Amino acid sequence: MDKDFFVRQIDAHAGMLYRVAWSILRHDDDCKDALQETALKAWQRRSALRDERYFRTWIVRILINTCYDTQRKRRRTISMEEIPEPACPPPDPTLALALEALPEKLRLPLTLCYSEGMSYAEIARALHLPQATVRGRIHRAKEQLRKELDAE
Amino acid sequence: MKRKMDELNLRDAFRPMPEGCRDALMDAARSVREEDKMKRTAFRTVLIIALILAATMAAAVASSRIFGWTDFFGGSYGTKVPRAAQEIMQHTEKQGSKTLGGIIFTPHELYADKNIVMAAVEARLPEGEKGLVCGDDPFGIIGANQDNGKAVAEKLGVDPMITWVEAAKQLNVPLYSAEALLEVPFEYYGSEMMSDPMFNEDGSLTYFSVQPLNGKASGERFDCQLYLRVARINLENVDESPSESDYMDISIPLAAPIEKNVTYKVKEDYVSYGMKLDSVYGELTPAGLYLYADFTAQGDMTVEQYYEKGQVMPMWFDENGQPYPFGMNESYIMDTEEWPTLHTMGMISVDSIPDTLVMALEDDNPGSGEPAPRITLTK
Repeated sequence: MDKDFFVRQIDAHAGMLYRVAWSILRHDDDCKDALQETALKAWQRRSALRDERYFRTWIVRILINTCYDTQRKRRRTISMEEIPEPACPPPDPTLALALEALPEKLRLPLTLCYSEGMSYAEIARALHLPQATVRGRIHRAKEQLRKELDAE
Repeated sequence: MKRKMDELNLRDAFRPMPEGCRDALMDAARSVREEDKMKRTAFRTVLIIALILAATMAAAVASSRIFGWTDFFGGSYGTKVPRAAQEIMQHTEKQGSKTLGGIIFTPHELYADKNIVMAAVEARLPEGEKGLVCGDDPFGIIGANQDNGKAVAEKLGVDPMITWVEAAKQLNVPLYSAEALLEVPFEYYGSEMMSDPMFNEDGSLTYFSVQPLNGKASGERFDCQLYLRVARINLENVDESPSESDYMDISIPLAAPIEKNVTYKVKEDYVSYGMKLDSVYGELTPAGLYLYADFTAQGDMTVEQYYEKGQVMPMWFDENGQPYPFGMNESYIMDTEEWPTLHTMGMISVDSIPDTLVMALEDDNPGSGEPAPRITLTK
């Protein structure tokens, strides 16, 4: 993988990487740190990407691990008051709130599938889960999201 | 007003990427240099959220013994370590030790075949150093590790219902959080890793991790890494405890199958949950017997409809109808890529290949789903 390819891929996937980071960290400063670190780690470890077709899955895995590291470094508990209100609201604030209400283990596969269009197999690889588990979690996430939206 | 799920655009739940985030990402990407050295070893991912098996562990603490795999699996689902695997683990080649953040890590029972790699790693303080070594959760309740946790609490003279942090405060000793997780090359990754610690009576910790592989590993040895992480917990301000991490290369002889392609005859039609059994074959490894069963969906059942039926998977019984213990590779595969064909793979813990097997395709969740018929299969 040369630098041009790497930069182009990062650029093409920037939005997705941000949404994945936000799904876990929900704090822009943390997202910024995690994204920066992910790009540097990925380049350093580029020899592990044997097939460039898997760039997206590969970079998402690095990002997720980095986000969890970031989470650990952060204070263990953050009260809701400490999470700054985003400057620009999402296009569908009701949906955003419903999605926020899901536990992360459901929110992340749902986001990867329905926001990012990843296949179950890709999500399984990215999250280190069996495909059957991914299917189950997405199924449960949809049900729970429906309940959250109905309750709105 | 109720909203229709199929009209939702999940991306609308996210605001656009802030410029600051985009700039930070792109600046980092553009800052890399072609001549930057790659890490010598391939990147291996770490499963940070490991599947916790604590609830299933029930090993007794023996005097100054360092726990190994037979202890770990002893109380877990009744899973046992087959004799051949025990033999291999007990003769694990020395891999050396690595010191990180004041903790010495020593792999002591390792096993690998093409479907699974397992590492039991001892983590201890240097001789004479005082302190507690807990696993990855210093805020976990000591007694939550069932008998093992309770025995440790008793030895420390603390209430088993307090956390490691509270115990360290009470005893006025430093607390270290340590873990040692397997990382395998991307191309061999199978599925979710399981990991958990056990606490040895001498104050050290054995960290266990089991990583299922995808069956593609070959050759004499399997090379992978241990991701080591240590944090000395700041007992005054427990929120801020930076951790140190590093990798340790390990090389494990790759165990060959003992017996391959053992076919079980399917003499009669078997249909359960709308799936017809086509074939069953097994492969005996030192770690246990892998059983591969293929099914075909009946009618026009879709894969989604199949999954909606629950966690439907083949369960294996002996000729007397007693369930076989799960194998050490507790993950199972349900491959629907070639739907309407369903390929499954699961493992049972046996030392040799049974002549007769009984199979039921049924919902894994106890008490749920329809009662499943059973079929007897012979070699």
